[in-house]
Amino acid sequence: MTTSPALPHDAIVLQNVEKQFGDHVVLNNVSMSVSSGEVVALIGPSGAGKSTLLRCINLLERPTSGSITVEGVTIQVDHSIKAKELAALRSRVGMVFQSFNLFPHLTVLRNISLPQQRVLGRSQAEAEERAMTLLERVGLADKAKQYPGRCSGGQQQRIAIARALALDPKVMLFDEPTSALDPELGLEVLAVMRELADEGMTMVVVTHEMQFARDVSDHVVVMSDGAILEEGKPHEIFASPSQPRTRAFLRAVLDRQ
Amino acid sequence: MTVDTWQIVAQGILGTLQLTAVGFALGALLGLPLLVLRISAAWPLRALARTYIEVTRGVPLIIWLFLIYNGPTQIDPALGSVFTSWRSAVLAIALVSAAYMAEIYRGALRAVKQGQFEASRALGMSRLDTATRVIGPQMVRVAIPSSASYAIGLLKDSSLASTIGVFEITYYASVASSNTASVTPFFVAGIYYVALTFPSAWAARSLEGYLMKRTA
Ligand SMILES: Nc1ncnc2c1ncn2[C@@H]1O[C@H](COP(=O)(O)OP(=O)(O)O)[C@@H](O)[C@H]1O
Ligand SMILES: [Mg+2]
Repeated sequence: MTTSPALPHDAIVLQNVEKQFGDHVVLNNVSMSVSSGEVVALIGPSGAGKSTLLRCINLLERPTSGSITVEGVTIQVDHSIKAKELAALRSRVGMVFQSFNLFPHLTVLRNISLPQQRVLGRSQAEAEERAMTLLERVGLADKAKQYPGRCSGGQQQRIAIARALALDPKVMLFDEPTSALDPELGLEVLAVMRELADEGMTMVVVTHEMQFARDVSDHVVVMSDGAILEEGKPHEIFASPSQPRTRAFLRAVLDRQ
Repeated sequence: MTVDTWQIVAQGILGTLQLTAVGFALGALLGLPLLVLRISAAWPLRALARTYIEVTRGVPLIIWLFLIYNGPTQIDPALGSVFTSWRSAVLAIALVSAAYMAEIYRGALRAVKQGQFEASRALGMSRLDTATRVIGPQMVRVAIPSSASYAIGLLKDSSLASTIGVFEITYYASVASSNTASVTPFFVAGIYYVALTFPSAWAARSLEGYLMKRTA
């Protein structure tokens, strides 16, 4: 073996994933794969099932059928899911939400150190050291002792990213991470994400930021009505989408921006 | 109004405080498993908890006091030494408080944003850690004002225990009143209740303010 980077492999594989809420089919037989180091932008109209698909990847939402593989851990949802497998899968996946979801009763530092201690069994000193390193990286070391309520939305989202990264995930999922933010605050979050992408993190990003999708992603997946409408390289999708519905969606989004 | 009256009624202050504190503390504790049943995924457990809560709250405290104090001895007179005045009163207050506290907890739980549960799960935290380190502390903040006003109400309702002979403020006031054929002891009792209530309400507000300031 050499020390060269590992060859790209499938980091995420979804096979025939279906999700129903009652009679309502929200994901209709979706299959997709993401290579390690790849940045996938998941776009499409509201209600298309983007969030649901993302939440199926770490089983925040349990699909009705299908299978999910993340970094070698496969979960067949038709079988009963063992708690151990679920924990193994979740430990490989970090997630960032639209509404940040920091714990309001804990300081910024504690938000990042507590999960490390409880989930990975790190010591407090170890966890806090790692937390400070990550806070420095997202430019918020000075906020360590503050409570999240004292931070701007953009700062909270960067802290949420640091909290997820502290658990050393192999894959990061982002669900409209800038949608709740003013544009200029969104930019500081996008800058952190761009850096993460450059470092080779595998990322799936649900976004309405077409600029980001175009510039940063390696692959764009367009969803509509619970299915993948089309996918391809960003320049293909943005320059010459093959589906009329993709064209209509892009026109609507770009008009708004 | 003699110094004597003040002293006689004051003998009940400790009893009132003990009865309220012990009954409320037990109720606040029992309210937790009751909450777990109340929000359980299994409907029979939910129905059981709900029935308990509705029935317990639907019947006046004084009826519970009589039932718990007198009921067992009617079955077996020997049980009288088990169900003393004090124990019966603590039990009645604890059982009723559990029902009220479970509902207060449920309200507090609903006030915690859904995203908090999701974030904790997504981080891979166990259910126990999620409950004790993420959701629980946030519930406490929400539950403090209503718990405090319930506890203060209980301080006054504990006066009902005088009817089964618990040595608290109202008990001493009643005895003094009938001995002297005067209403003054009840006036004194009223002042004592207010004097106990004021600092409790103030303490609850300070605690709430302190917690809010830390998270805001
Ligand atoms: N918990 C739920 N219960 C019922 N329906 C849901 C639930 N979550 C999402 N849905 C429905 O699933 C569809 C897809 O939602 P979502 O995945 O959030 O779409 P998107 O993120 O693309 O806007 C919507 O029609 C939504 O109403
Ligand atoms: Mg969504």
